[in-house]
Amino acid sequence: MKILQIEINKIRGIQNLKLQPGGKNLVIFGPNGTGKSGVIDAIDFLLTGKISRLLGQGTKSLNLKNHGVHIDADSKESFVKATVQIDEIDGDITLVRNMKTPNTLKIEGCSKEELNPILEVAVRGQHILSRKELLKFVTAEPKTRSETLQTLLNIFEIEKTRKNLVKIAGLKSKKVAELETAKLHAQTMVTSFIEEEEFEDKKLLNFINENRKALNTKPISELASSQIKSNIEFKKQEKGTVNYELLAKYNNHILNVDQNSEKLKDTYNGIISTVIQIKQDPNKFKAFKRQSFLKLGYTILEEENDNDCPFCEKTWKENELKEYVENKLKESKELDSIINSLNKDLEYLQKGTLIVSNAVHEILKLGKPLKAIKEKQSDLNKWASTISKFTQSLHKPITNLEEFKIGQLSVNSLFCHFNLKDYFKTREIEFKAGIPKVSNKDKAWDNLTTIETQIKSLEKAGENLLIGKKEFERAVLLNKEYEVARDRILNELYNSIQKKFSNLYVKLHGEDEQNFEAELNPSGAALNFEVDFYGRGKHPPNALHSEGHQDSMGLCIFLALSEFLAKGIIDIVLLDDVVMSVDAEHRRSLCSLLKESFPSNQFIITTHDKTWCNQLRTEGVVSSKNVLEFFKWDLETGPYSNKSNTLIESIDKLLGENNIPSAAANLRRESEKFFETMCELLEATVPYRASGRYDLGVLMPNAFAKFKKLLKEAKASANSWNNQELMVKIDEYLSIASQVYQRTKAEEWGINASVHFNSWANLNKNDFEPIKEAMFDLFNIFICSNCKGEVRLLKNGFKPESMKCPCGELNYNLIKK
Amino acid sequence: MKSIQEEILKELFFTLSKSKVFTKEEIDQFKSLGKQDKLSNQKDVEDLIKVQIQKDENSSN
Repeated sequence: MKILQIEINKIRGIQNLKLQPGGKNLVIFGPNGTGKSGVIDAIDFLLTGKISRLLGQGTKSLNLKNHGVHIDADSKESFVKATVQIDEIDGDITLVRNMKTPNTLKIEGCSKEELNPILEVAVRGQHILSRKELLKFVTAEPKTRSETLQTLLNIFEIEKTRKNLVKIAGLKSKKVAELETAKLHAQTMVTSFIEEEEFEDKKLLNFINENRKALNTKPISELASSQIKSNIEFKKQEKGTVNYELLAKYNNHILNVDQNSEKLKDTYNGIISTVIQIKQDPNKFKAFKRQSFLKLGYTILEEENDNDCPFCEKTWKENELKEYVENKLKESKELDSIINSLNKDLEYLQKGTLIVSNAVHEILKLGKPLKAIKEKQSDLNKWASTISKFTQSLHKPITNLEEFKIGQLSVNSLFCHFNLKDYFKTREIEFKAGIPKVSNKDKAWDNLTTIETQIKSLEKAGENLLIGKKEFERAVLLNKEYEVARDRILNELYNSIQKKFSNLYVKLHGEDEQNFEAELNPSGAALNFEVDFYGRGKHPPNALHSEGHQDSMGLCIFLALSEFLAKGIIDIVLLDDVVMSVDAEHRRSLCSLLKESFPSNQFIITTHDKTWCNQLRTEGVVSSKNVLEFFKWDLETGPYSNKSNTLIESIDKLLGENNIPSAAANLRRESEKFFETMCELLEATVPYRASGRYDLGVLMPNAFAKFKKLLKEAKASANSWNNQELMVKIDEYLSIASQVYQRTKAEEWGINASVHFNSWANLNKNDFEPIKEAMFDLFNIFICSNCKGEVRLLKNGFKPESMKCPCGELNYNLIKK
Repeated sequence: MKSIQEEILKELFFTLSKSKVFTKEEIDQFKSLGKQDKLSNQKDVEDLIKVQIQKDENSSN
């Protein structure tokens, strides 16, 4: 998209301004505070509905409503209207955006869908570069640079996805740990029922087969819930018969735990004092908080066998991170043994509470027909709930100490609070004496029924664990492969940007930096940017390079990104006073760079530097009619510009008004500008002045003298090559040039530099006209009629090679045969 | 402009299709989530992982 014409009304410092860049580059120059940046802001606003300058750091109190609109205007009358041209769309397109409704862009000439790709790129800000923005790439912290680049590349979605996948993998890992504990608890239920210390398949099969034998059934060899009662023809005869033996067994579990209640309490209180001890020592607590993380990190480093930190993804030197983590883990060895002992205590408590909790539930179930159980049903349920609460409090005592302490009440009153101790002791006697006794077969059947239920729970816990592990495996794979793909694609992208950047920078700095290389290295959330310093290794760009070099680096990286992101979509590039620190010689290279490497872009450049502006014009980046000077600004009018006419038009206009002093002043000013440029382009010698001020009386004769000298050298060269035709042509050219020069009467008014201005200003219209014409004829002596560019001296090293214009139409060889 | 996320996902799905941990249907569902920019949504991704595991179970049964 290119801007053909634009009207800016009551935006920032602009009252009303109409510009006609015609899809070509545009340069606005003028002193600070003349409203140049207002044009940039207006274009920015048109494309994005925002003004970048009013956003970002240090702009909290700024807003579009109060600071985007001209200070004396209402937002209703504040708008930007532009006619633009878009490749592949026939006809002109009109865009209007009003400050009153900044989110609405009125479009005529194409659909919103057709415009969307352009607006999407614009909204990321890849069309505008100010000095402030420039430094974002160069001096910014790696993390900030990464964020800036991520915004430009629109890769926040990538980081969001990665974070999500990491989070899910983490949650799945936690889930696996929970499911492992659940499986362990299911095993505890089984071992407590068969009254074994450890869970072993063989012992369990023995228990099952003994009971199957009692029911005259063959033993089984596979430990599966579906097999436990397989092929048993036995049916329990007396339904509702109370299995006193089983009740006594569960009652015994409770009393066994009760016998250990003091140990349980001591263990519980021991845990609390250890936790307090850890929490009161900041070093220990810090080490504790990091310990499981370090262990997990160490496992990942061992498994993946690479040197990337699994947390921040920074790449470490070979084995350095692993050694670092190892040392950290060694340092916390003492804590490790405390934590191990703590975990054992917790396991002991958990086992106890699980057995009691299960026994209570079984007693309630098995003893349902019994009056003694019925009477205490409510208390028993409450007690079961207390135990359950207590079990829950056993999770993460260090991080949830307060919650854990709540359990202290429960453990102290575990058996006392409901006066159940005596109750169970009485039940022990009662259950043991219970009649009728269940038959061995009924007992075996009940045993198999219980164990079947418990094995089912165990199988379910095992299945859940398997599913959990599978989910974890899938989540880890998804996350890992996503990161691998991301790294490959982003590295490729960064490589292409850094290559483009290096090429641009070398083009800009020429021979100084022939071997210049840059590196953009993503490192976790950061993006390191390092550049070669004259073959002495790579360093951050702001470490050793000058401010000017940093500026050109910022510009080159912006242009490299622009090429990648916006090429063919948004051709407009706004450069807002960005070459302040780049020296004159490199600015000339910059002109070539903009012209040759970005021919399809429309650059809109603001500068307060007249020389840079002239360079842009003389190097053909911008045509004379697209150079705009803002020479003054006030609140009522906004910028005062000389945009409307070419020099000759404006002088003629003034002559028409018989305003000779102003016409003379304009001619004088522009002639000085012109010959200053010519002196520079032809490397003419002028007497040195400490003030740095060179007037026309000095610039014009010396530029002309050097021009003649070069033409004479060109003639000598033509002679050496025996090019008679060219010699004649040069002679003619020299003769015409001399005649034109005489017509300017330079000798007359150039004698006294301090009065020459008045000499012109005091002329009448008829006297001034021929001087004006002579001056313009003289300008044209130096200018190519084809490309409108000035001739310039080209050298190979220190040796003059030719005098030619930018397009080569005027080309005088200076090398002799 | 090329979507970098799209390119990453293209490569990711190609790798996943070779890993055999995910079925073709599952990868298609991931692709669909990717197109809707929902791979950054925890519930969507978790559901997809969970549902697929259950399907695995059914198929093995």
